Amino acid sequence: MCDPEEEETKAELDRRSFVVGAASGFGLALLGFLVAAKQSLLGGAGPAPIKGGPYNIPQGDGKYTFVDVSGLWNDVGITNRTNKKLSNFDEQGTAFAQEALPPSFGPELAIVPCPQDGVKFVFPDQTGRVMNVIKCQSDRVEIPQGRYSKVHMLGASLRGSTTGVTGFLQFDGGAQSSFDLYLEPWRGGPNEADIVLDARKIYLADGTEPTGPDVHAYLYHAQVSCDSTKVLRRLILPSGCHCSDHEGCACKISDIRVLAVTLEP
Amino acid sequence: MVKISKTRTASQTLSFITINLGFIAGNTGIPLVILSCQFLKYRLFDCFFYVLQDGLFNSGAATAPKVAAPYLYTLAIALVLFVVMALFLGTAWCAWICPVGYVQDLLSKGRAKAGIGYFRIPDRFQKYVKPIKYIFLAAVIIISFGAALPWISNTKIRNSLYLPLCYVCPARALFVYLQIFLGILPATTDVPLLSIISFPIFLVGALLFRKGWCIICPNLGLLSFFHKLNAVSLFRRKVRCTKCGTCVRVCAMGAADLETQGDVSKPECIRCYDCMDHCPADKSRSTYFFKKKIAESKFPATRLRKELLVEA
Amino acid sequence: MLLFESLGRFLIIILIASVAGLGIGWLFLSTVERSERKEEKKETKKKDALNALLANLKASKGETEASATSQITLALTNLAKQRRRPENMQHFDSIARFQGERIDEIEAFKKAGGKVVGFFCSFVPIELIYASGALPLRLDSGLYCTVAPSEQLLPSDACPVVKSTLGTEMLELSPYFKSCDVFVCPSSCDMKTKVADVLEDFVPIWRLEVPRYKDEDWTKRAWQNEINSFARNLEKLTGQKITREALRRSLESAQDARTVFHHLRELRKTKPPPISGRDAMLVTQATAYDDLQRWTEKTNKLCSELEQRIENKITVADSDAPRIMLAGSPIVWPNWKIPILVEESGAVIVCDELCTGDQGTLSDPVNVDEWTMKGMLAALADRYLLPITCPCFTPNDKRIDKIVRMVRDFAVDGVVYHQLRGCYVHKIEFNRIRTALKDLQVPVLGIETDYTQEDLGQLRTRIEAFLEMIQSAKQVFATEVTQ
Repeated sequence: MCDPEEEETKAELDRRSFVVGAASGFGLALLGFLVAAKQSLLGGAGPAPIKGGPYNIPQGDGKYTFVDVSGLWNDVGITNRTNKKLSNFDEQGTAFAQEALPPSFGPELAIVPCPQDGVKFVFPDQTGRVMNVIKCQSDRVEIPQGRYSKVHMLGASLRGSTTGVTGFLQFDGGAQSSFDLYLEPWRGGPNEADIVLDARKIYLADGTEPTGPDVHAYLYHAQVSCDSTKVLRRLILPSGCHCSDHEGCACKISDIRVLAVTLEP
Repeated sequence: MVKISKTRTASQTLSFITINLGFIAGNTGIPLVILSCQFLKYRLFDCFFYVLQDGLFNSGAATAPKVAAPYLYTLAIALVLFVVMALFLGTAWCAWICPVGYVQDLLSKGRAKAGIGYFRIPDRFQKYVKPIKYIFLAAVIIISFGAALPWISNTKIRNSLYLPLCYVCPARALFVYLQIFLGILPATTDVPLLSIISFPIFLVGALLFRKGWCIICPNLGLLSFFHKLNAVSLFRRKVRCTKCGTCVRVCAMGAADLETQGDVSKPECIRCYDCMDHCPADKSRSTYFFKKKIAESKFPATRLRKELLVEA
Repeated sequence: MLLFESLGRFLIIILIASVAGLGIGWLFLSTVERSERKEEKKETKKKDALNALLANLKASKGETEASATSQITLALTNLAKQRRRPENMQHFDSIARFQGERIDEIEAFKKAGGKVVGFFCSFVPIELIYASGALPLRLDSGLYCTVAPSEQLLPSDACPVVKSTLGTEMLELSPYFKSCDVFVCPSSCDMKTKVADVLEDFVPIWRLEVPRYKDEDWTKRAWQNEINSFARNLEKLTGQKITREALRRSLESAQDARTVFHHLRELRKTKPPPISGRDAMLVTQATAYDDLQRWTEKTNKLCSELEQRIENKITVADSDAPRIMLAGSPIVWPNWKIPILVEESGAVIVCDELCTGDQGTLSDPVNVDEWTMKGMLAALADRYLLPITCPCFTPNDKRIDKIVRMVRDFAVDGVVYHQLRGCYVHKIEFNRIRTALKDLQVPVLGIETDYTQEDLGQLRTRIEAFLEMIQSAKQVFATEVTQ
C-alpha cells in the first residue's frame, strides 16, 4: 500500500533541496565576486595611517616604570587583515599580523611581560589603524625623572646584527652616556635568547599573508645599564641608516624599530 | 544498532581536535559560525562573532565612510560566508561541530554516569526561555556598534565595551583557561572578571539543564533564522508515530512536540538527533541531507544475551 | 593582571558559590518526587452476608471447576489439531493449562517469602514489580463459567471480562489469583474502576489513577506521581528497596522480551504467515503468567523455528487466505471463540489491536535516555501512559493512526471488530474506526458478543459471509489489474 506521508516527504525534500541549492549557489557566487572585486570596491591606497591616542599609559606597576613613547610612534608595524595595506614595519610593506599575536595583548594597550625575566612593556595598539612603532632616528624620549639602573627596550632590527648602533642617556646636570643597542633581526637571527614574542604570520606588501611554522617575526628585549647614581632625564634613540642603498651601504648600521621602553630602578 | 549519536560524538571530537590544530597548519582566517574562540593561541579558524563584533565596533568608530569601508567589507564577506555555511548545515553546526556543545555533552554524560538527574524545563516555561537567545544576539550587536559611536567620550569605558560577547562566552573560559593552565598562553594573559564569573554559571547550566548554554546562545539565535532553510532536514511521520512522548522528554532544547508533522525543525533544534535515536517507532523520524536519507528511527532491538540465544 | 590578589579572592568566592549552587541542584534532582498517599486498606473485611453467599457458591465449586477445565481443554485441543502447527508451542500450552509446573514455581517462590502482585490492564509497569523482588501476574479472566456467580455482586449487563474475573476470585478457582498478595487496579474504564470496590472485600487493592487526558502537562505529572508512589508501595510490600541496578536489570530483561515479541510480529507480516493467529495470541497471553526470561527464551526458539518455516515455505494457511486483523474489546484466554471461528472459516489472523494481544505490555518499549533513578521512572511513566490507545482516553486519535499503520504494514484484507456486551468505550469508537477503514477501502465486520457459546452458529455464518465478500473483492481486484 502506498504511503502518502512518504510522498509528502519527497515533495518537501525536492522543494527544499532546490531552494537551498539555489541560495547557496548564489551565496557562493556573491562571495567569489566580493573577494575578487576587493580592489575596485575598496579603491586606491586606502586610509592613511593615523596617530592614535591620547593613551592612558600607567606610570608603572610598582617595580618597573613605563615610559610613554606613544607620541613617538611614527609607523604602522603591526596590522590586521583590514588594515594590511598600511603594513610598514620594514619600509617595504611588511608587518606583524595582529591575528598571530595572542589577543591577550589587548585591542588597545596592554602590559606584556618578557618571558625570560618578567620585565613588563606597554604593548601598543595592534590593529594597524594607528601608528605603533618608532622608526628610530635619534628620537628624544622624555623620561619621568628618577634614578634607574636599567633601561629595557622592546623592539627588533630590520636586517643583520647591529653594530655601531649607538644611543645616548642624558642625565640631570648635563651628563651624558652612550650605549650600544643590540637587537636581533626581526625575521630571525643567530641569537634568539631574548625573544619576547614569535609571531607566525606577516603581511607582505603584495597583500599575501604567509603563515605557518616556517614563518617567524620576532620582537626582542634589549637591556641597557644605566648609572643609578644620577637622575635620568632623557633617552636618545639611535639614528637610522641614511644611505639610500641599504644593501651595499658602508655604515653597516641596521635600522631599529622600538615599540616600548621600560625603566628599572 | 548504531545510533547516530555515536557519529555525532565522533564528529565533535574531530572538529575539536581540528580547530586546535593551528600549531600545525597555522591560521586559515576563515571565521566559523560556532564558538571557536578567537583568543586561542594556535587556532585553525576564527570566530565569526569576533569578526562581527570587531567589524561593527570599528565601523562605528570610523571617522569617515572611507575609513569604515574596509571594516564593512570584511563584515560583508563574513556575513555572506555565514549565510553559505548556514545554508549548508543550518543549526547542525551547533550539535556536530561547536566545541562548547562538545564540552556540554561530555559533562552530561559524566553527570548521567554519576546517577544524577537533570531539570527539564516544563512546557509552560519554554515560551519564556526561547526568546532569550534573540535578546542576547540583539544586545551583542547593539553594544558592539553603539559603543563605538562618538557619544561615549571616555575611551576606557568605550574600550571595555569592545567585544561584549567575549566577556561571557564559555568558549573563552573553557579553552583559553586551559591553554593558560597548560602554559601555551602566558600566565598573565588578560582574563576579564566577567569571564571568570560566567564560567561557573555555564557549568551549572550544563549540569542542571543538559544544554543550558545552547538554549541562550546568540550563535544559535543567528543560525536559527536558517533552521528550515538548510540541507539537513528532520521529518516526522504522524501515522508511524506512537506518541510515546519520548522525543519530548529527551530533547534538551525543548524543540520536540507531538503535534507538528512533516518538517518538524524548530528554531531551537540543533540536530542532536536524541529524539530520533530514542524514538521506538520504525521510520517515524528521519533525517536527510539534501535528498539523501542519513538515518531514521528504529525499534530499539537489544542483542539478546547468550542464555537466550538458540543454538543453531 | 594588576588585580591578581583580589582576583584570587573573587575566584574563591565564585567557586564556593557555584559548588553551593550545584549542591542544591543535586539535592533537588537526586531525590525523586514521591507524593504521600493515604494508606490502602490492608485487612480484608468479609461481611456476614458476603460470607453466606460465598458459602453457597462453594457448594457448586466442583461443577464450575470442571466446566472451566473443559473450556480450556477444548480450546487447547482445537489448537493442537491445527495442521503443521509449530513444535515450539508446547511450552505455551502448558502455561495455558493453569496447572502444573508454573503453579509449583509460584508456590515455592511464596514459601521463600516472595510477594506476588496481580494486576489488570497494560498500565501497570511490570519492570517496577520485578525490580522490587515481587512477581507480576496479569489477572484478566476468560472463563465462561465464573460469569454467573459474579452476577450476585455485579450488574448483569456489566463487562464479562470483569464479571469472569470477579467470579474466579469469589470461587477461588484460579491458583494464580490465590497466590496474589495484592491486586493493582488501574482506573482505566468504568468497569475496571468500580470492580476495585467489590474486590476490596476479597483481597488488598492498590488503585492507580489513570487520567482521562494524556496531552496535558498536569495529568502527566499526576501520572508520574502515581508511578512513584506505586514504586514506594512495592518497596513497602516486599521490604526491598528498588535500587538503580535492579531497575536497570529488569528494564533490560523486559526489553529483551519486547525485542523477541517485535520479531514475532514482524514474522507474521510474511505472506502467508508461518504461525496462526490463535497460536500467536496464545504466546502473547502467556506473558501474563509465565516467567519473563523463560518466556523470552521460548519465544526466541519459536521465532527461530518460524524463520526456518518461512525459508522452507511451510505455512499454516493457504496462500490466498484472507488476512484478518482483530480489534476491539479484550479477548482473554481461554475465551478463544472468535479467533478459532475466524481461522476455521479459512482466514488467518495476522495481527491484532487488542490490549491483551499485540498492544499489551510488550508492545512499546520503555525508552530510557539516562540510567538514573529519575530518568528511569520518567521513562516508565511515559511508556505506561502515552502510547496506549485504550479507548478510556479522550481524545484517542492515535488509535486510528495505529490501525491505519497496521493495515498497511501487515497487508490486512479485513478487520473483525470484537465488541463485548457492556463495553461501551469500544462500541463508541467503532464508528470512527469504520469510517477510517472505509477511506482505506478495508471492510470491517462488527461483532457483538458475550462470554457464552450460544451465539456460535450465528457468528460463524456472519464471519463466513464476511470472508467470502473479502475473497470475491480480491478476485475482482485481481482481474481488474490483469485487464
